[in-house]
Amino acid sequence: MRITTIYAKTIADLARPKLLVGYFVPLVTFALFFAVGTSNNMLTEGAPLFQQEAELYTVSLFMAYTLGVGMPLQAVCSVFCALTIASESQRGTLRILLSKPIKRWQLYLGTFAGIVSYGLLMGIVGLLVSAVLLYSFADVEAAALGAGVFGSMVGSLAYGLFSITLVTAIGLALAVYTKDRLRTAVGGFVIPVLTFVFITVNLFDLDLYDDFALYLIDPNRHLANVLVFLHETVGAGLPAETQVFMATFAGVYEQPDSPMHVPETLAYSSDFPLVLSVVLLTAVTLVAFVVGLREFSRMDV
Amino acid sequence: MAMIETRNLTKHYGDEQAVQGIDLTVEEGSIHGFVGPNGAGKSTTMGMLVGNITPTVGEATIGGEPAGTHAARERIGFAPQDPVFYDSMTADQYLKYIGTVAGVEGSVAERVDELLEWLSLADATNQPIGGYSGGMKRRLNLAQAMINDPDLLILDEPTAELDPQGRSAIIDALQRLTEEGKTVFVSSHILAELEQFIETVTVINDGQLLMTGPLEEVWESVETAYIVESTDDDRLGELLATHEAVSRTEPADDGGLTVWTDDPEAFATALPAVAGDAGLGLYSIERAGGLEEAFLEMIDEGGA
Repeated sequence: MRITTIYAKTIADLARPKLLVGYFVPLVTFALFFAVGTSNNMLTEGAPLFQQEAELYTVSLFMAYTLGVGMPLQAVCSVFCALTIASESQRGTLRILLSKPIKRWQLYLGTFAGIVSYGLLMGIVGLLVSAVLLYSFADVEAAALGAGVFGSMVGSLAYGLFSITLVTAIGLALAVYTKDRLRTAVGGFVIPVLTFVFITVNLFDLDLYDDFALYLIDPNRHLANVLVFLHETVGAGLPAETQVFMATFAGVYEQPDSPMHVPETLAYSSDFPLVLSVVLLTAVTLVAFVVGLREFSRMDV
Repeated sequence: MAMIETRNLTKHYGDEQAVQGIDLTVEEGSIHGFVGPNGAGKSTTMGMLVGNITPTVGEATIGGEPAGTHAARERIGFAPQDPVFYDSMTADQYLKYIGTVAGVEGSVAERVDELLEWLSLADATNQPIGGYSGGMKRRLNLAQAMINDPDLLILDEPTAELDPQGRSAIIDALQRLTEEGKTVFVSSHILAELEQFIETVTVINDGQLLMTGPLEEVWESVETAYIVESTDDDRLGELLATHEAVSRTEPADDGGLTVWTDDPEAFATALPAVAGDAGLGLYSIERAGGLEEAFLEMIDEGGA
């Protein structure tokens, strides 16, 4: 009962009209821009249905990874962490709350679950908005939408849940340690900002990336590995076109020898296996959650 | 039975010693004043009793349960010095939320209505808390502390920054609580108003305990001052200055003579005798200052 009360209060705190407008207006604007741009450049006019499906899958995955359940959602979850425990701690409302006979882990878990589930809801809305815009602007058959757009959603949502959980675990730990809204939000931005930076690094195919084994600290690479892993595991699997895209964008696959002769399946990059990224990020999530909870259980307010 | 018991309760923040080895006992059903100047360590001590602050050394128990445990917090209602609420919520929403979190048994709505009525907030129940006056927020603070009908109320400056009317409302509420048999541990700057019903008191300064015990012991441990008005205050002052029952004399600010004594009983006997022998008439005699002045004097003597 107490956890559900905290959970409901967290969601009520986050459901601020200004915050929703601030998130969805830029998101829809970028999604519109991407939908128009990709439908012109990445979709082949008059292609057979299976090709339309594969191309739509690639575009949907691209929009999900960069917009719907990607960096903006991770950033907004950091803000959520700042608006909940960090804000309560900084303002002083936590002093009254923690003086009541509620177990601290209940408060922490209720807040955590509230942020993750509300973030997931926003992710679902973001993916649906992307799907609607793609359908509106892409010259594709309606039959291609099933496998091309909705087929990618399960894997993308699983990825969204994973990345939101990761960012929220880190964000709440930061909130507990800093007790400061600004530092929590800025600290939580590190993952989405680094992801963006490393996308650029990958696109330019810089030598220093391999020379200095930067993939070890590249959140883009690890998150993309997780995205592919989840699509392969709980989703429908990735078509070759999407694999090429993930090779260029994040180095998950080895690039094909020739862009004109793409095999049915690309080989995974040998430097960092998918499963290792899943294990690594899961471990980071668990450690951040446990450290945050432990500190919250004994912190002075 | 002791409701609050602390042993060597200590809190350090780095090199700063906020509270140093406090030993105190507060009996069940009593109202206990917790006194000291700003920065003395009152709020830190209260935070440790509530379980919001972890002691560096020492321990505290609430009704026999270690402070900070679930069982201890079930018995406590805490009203912090600067209450912060969720401004967009109404009092009704806020108290229902806090009541559910506190695990109020039975109907939370009924308990909320009861408290809002009791603390004269029923008319503003659907108004956002952000629009409340300072007095209304103080009363709401008391309401949230009482939401789970605790045995012990820990109130940190419950009347700070209130006008006389607001203070009076809070004082009335505290008096009613003591009549109901609650234990109240209260820090306040308005001792003059509290001294009527405080039974025991603890005085701290610079994080150190200066004294703890029944109120009478405080009176016995400090000098008592009287304002005396006579037909010739200067002459009376000269005569009393050498009397063994009198510590010192000084012209009072508003006329008359201020006389300090360590032995009020001896002074009560000596004053009419000295005045009579000198042929002086006495117009009035009244006690100067109150508990607050007595504590300030104690704090000065304690090396503040």
